Amino acid sequence: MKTLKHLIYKEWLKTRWFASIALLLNLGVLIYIFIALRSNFLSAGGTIYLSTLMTYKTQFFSLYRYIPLGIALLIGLSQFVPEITDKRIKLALHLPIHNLQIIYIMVVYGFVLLFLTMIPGILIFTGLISVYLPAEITIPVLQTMSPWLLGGFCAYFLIATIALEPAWKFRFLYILISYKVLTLFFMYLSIGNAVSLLPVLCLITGLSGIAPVYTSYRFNKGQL
Amino acid sequence: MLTKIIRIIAVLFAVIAAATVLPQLYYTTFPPEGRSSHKNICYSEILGDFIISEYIYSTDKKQATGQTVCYDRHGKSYSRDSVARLLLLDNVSQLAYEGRFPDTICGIAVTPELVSSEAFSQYHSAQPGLYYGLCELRDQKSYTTRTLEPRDLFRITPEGIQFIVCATNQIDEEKSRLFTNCLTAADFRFPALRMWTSPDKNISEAIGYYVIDSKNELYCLSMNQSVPAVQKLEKPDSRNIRNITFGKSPDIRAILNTENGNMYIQHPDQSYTRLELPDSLRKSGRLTGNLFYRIFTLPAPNQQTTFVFDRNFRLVDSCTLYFQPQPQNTAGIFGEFLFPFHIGQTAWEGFYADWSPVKRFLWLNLVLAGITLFYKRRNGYRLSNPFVITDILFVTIFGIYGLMGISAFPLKKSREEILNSQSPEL
Amino acid sequence: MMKRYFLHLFYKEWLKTRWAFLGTLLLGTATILYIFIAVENKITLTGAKTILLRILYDEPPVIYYASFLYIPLLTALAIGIAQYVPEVIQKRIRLTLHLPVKNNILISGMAGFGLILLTLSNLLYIGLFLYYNIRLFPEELTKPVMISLTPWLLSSYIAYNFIAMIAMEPNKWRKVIYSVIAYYILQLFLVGNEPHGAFRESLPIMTLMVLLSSGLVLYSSQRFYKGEK
Repeated sequence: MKTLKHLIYKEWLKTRWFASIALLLNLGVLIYIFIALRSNFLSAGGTIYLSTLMTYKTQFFSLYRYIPLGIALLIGLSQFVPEITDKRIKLALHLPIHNLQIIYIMVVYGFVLLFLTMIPGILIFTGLISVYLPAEITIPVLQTMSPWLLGGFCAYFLIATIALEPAWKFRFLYILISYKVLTLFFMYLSIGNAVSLLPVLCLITGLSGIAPVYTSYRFNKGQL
Repeated sequence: MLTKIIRIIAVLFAVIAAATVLPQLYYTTFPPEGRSSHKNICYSEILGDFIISEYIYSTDKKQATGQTVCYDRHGKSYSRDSVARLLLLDNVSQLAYEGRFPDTICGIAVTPELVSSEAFSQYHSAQPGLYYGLCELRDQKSYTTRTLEPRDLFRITPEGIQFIVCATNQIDEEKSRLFTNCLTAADFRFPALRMWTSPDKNISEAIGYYVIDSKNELYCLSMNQSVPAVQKLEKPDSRNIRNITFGKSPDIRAILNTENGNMYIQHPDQSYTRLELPDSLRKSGRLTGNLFYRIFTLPAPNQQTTFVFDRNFRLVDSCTLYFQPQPQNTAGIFGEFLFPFHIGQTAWEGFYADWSPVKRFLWLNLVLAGITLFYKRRNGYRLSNPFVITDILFVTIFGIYGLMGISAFPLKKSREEILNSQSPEL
Repeated sequence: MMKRYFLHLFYKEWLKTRWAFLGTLLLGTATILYIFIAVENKITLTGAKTILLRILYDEPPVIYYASFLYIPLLTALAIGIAQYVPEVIQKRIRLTLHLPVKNNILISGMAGFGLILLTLSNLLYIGLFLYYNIRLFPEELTKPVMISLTPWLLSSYIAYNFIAMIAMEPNKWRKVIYSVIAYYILQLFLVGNEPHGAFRESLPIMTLMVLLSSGLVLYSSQRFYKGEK
């Protein structure tokens, strides 16, 4: 149990600064979207703005599209790049737990950190939006934003997978595949249309969550 | 020394960045909450006067409703019903639907179809628009057969007219020579300064292009069954032509704006009538027409002037509408105190800096400069250092942006300043 | 004597940046090739004259080269990060500072190398783009398009100089502030969605900003060298 705490503390030391930037970025962008919405709402007038929004289906929140990806990059790179440059994972491997467990604790830590960075912001955002927009608009907005959030998680898992891969030629291959897979998450869809895609995206995210197992196995083999 | 100069450049960059973003952020957070009334003006042929309709929002801020009031220039107000009876030409479809459209207006027999067919609306401008110099010359008889459909675009260079076949990006020498000879025969001096055509496909095919050559003469260039048709046209006056807008209605061939602000209507027989409009050098406006009148609307800051001409383009009447500017709310006034200027960029005019009135922001700037001076003294910077003076100058001119700039890039102390600041401890 | 030092310095920098440079160069070339493949595809489908008229006169404007917007920026980022991040992380610059050359000259040499690389890649992009554009379209389109592309190419220099300044800055919080400043300055350069040939009036001031930003790295490196926080 104590080794778990030490491990998590080590990860926190690596990622704390980047995670706080990610949190600020997330909150900043969401609050800016809310401020812009409020500004449009007040200057155009409620009825006019709502009817324009519903007729033209403008995505007033489209600024947020690549933010989860950015957060995943910030946290994932700050967590895994030191491992591969300094080979610091070797030290962790002398701890009395299984290698795979160590790597998985790191991945789960990252996932939880990602969750804590993104989701409270989204909840605050939903609350703020609901002041001006009815549920008939807020729910499709959230439905459209969820592929982006899932994309962030998937990107994090893929970064872990790519970082743990020892051979560069396979890394390039994985980077290409990750790029193609992530395009699925960040497509330019109309509001609310992402609902039918969500089960597939959840499946892909789940599969990518298991992907680090494969590369970490090869990484560990390389170290021993 | 070099570093200090580079620091000033860095501070200027910070000032530019702040001046771009902060006003935008501020005015998005505190948007102006005024509701300007909407005014609309029409000319009544029955009344012989203008009728102004205004949509006034209710004074209750929570309601987004309002009502329309109509009145004429003397202030007499009309109800919606009576207005419809006075503005017959503008409300044809509504009146015909209600069966209230009369058989004669001002003694002339009319039908709804006749009136609607005579109505048109278009824009005209005194300034020419986007121009690449590359245009498509369609044949006058394009509508008869597809073989006459052009596959090239043309441009008029100092060597002559050149038709560029798009598919190969090569010049069609034969066709170009043919047209160049035709143009030379008409005394055209290459290169062309500018070309205009109508945005309407049919009119563009029928008329072709109005081209100004390098001697500021006006020509009409078109193609009739692959044979060039060049005609030299008379200019309305001896001045150079600035902009040509083609007309949508059959009695207006083109509207020409000359360089000293005059506006002329060219009729289908190529004669000109000068419009008695005020100097319209920078104005673009609307032209609406109906059975009796041709109405020109010219905008200006916070106002709009409507000129009514009859079918012979003689001025009948004119009226100016004044729009009340949106009253500035407290956030706007506070913004003027806070932000000395605001930097932006437009596509065609480049960078601009929009300064607030000096008397507003100068106070805050002086206060901030005082604070800066206080902090500099407190931290041990000597006032004799020219860079400290530059810092304070920045804060005075650029206000809050300057303050952010100089705090983002700290000033290194010179050796004696460090020694002086440490001396009390010795 | 100085020349030999510069040659050694340049070689060291090349060793650091070659993969980043070649990688982004490949990406940029691929993007330009793709732009023209897409345009030629549309021409085959719809006809050259229609496409050219659409590109010239459509509202909203058809910016067929929009994919190229971030390429110079990416090149600058790649070169800048590859060049300055190793210096700062592993404090390797301390080793360089033991060479018998003044620090400012060293840093200027590094920055100069990066700017030369950037200019090379920008020239390559311009050359490639012009080659295809002149083949396909007449010069009435090529000139305005090159004017529209210039702010994007200039943005790469601004990005590089700011990255150099940000990487060499010792204080973490100032790094964040400088990044924010760089972000908003870059937004002035990375403009699109206007008809071709727009922003011609902005070009002189943009060039001035690029030239003035070249020295920014010296400010941070001075503080880095002195060990200030």
